[in-house]
Amino acid sequence: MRRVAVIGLDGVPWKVVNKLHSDGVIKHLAELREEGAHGHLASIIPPFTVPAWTSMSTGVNPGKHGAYATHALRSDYSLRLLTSRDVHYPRVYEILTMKGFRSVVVNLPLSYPPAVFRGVMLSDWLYPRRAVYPPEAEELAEDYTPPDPLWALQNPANYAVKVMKGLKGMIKTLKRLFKEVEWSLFYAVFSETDFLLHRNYDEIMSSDGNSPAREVFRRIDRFIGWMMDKTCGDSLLLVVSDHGFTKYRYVVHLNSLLREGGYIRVKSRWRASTSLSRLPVPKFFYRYVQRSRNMRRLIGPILDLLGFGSASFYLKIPTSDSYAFAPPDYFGVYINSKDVFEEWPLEDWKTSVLRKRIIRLFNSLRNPKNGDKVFRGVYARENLFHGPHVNKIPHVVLIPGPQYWMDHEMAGDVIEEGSHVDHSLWGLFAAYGSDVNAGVKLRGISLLDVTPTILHYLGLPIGREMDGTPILDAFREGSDARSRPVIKADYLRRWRATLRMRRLRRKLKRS
Amino acid sequence: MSEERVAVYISRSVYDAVRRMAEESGEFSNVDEFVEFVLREFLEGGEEAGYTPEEEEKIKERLRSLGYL
Repeated sequence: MRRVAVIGLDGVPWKVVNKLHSDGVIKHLAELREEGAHGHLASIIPPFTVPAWTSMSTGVNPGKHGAYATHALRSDYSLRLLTSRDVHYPRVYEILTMKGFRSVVVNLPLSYPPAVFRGVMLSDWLYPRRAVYPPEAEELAEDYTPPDPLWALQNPANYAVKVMKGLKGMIKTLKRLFKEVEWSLFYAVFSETDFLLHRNYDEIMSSDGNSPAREVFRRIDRFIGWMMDKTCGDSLLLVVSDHGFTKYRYVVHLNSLLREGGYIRVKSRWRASTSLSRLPVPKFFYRYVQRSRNMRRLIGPILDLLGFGSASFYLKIPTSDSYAFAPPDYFGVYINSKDVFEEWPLEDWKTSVLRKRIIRLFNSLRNPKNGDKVFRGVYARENLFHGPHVNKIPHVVLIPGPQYWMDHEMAGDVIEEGSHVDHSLWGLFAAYGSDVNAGVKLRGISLLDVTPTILHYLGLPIGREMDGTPILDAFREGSDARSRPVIKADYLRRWRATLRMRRLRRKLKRS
Repeated sequence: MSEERVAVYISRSVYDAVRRMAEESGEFSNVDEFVEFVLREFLEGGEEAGYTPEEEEKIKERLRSLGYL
């Protein structure tokens, strides 16, 4: 029976792999690249954990699966965190379940709890508590603790050490599940790589030998070596990441630009959110802090030390009074339009006029320091996404130029210069196994292609609505996966029927 | 060896509706297979995915610690 194992390295681009390999920190992933097929894997817009892993595990764009960000806007402009039930297309392990296959899924973001599942699933770090499905599998997972970025706040100095402790338990559990559970798909994601690249990018990319953060990468690499040894015959090993990391030179404050363009009306309703709102600090202080990114970075850790929680704070955008606004982590701009929520004020005809103006505004933005065009692409959402959930995506979607990151702050200058480490649009893909086209460099591949590749390798049809296609070039000439025609099936109808049953069951339980 | 199977009697109108649905789906070779799938799904259930306000805040804290939100 064919099997596919997927190892997810959250946020790791080939650039990081190359650096760690040349410094002698890792070796197995580099071997896998040489002996397998590999390429840069295009991420999704926005390149964040939830939309990226969800797009990868469904094979459809966010307009179809509905998880465009980590959170969704409510009609009162507040943010609601998404749960696994907000994904409106079956993920690869759910398709396999419907076809009678079993899977092991560990720490795949927004996977827990599963709606339709046969196998063993361990909760991911975006689920509030550690959980095991089915509960009878608890004994197999006794060493597992989902990775937690808050470990960094509890003990910043020993963060990587704490991560390592959790990682050892996770790897021990993965090896046990690999050997003791019957599966056709084994899907495990290491989020530790993303957490560490956020906090320790310079340390990881420096040439100063070993450090606790680099040791985490070494340990994961050893696990990849163990998985390579176990990959034989009719099995395929995929190593994937959902996005990359890089250092940006400038940060663009989207709401500052909208404010300058007259699209955000600022009244006296400005107020601080998160930590600062709990402190009796006068308004002029907020404004002073807002003017300087460095000042905000300085104040944040002090608030942490004082026990006021997160270092992230900003002034809330007075959205109900504005024509348009950029929510956090959306890579785009919403117009305050009734086509998103009936309660929002602007009529449709005004929306189309405003959208053209806002696209022009962002397209014409140039960096005053060098004359560079800031945005590589400014799109109406329908030009990038399609599906029944497109109307929940920002009206204008932005792709910044290579030197630019963007955030939702409304502070000081529109463009701030200063080194900033964050996600990039290119992750990695590598395939390994006896059917793989060894040594081939794959081009033009996207994370939307990963699920179709898994299904096709297992001998199953891909979903009719899937936006990705199997990466056939990853398989050698004459292999079954390369020569067999790709067929399609409708998984969505059966999936919806299943969800309807689940809803009925919950209703009956409550009555 | 396959599991022992038993007969269940349902009304003709429900049977016809189920048969049409099974045929339309293209996923099931007969009504028995469809009914078994639906009932298995119904019986297996699953956890609710909703979060309490405290749980939601906990996850938001995790995201903020990475610079999100």
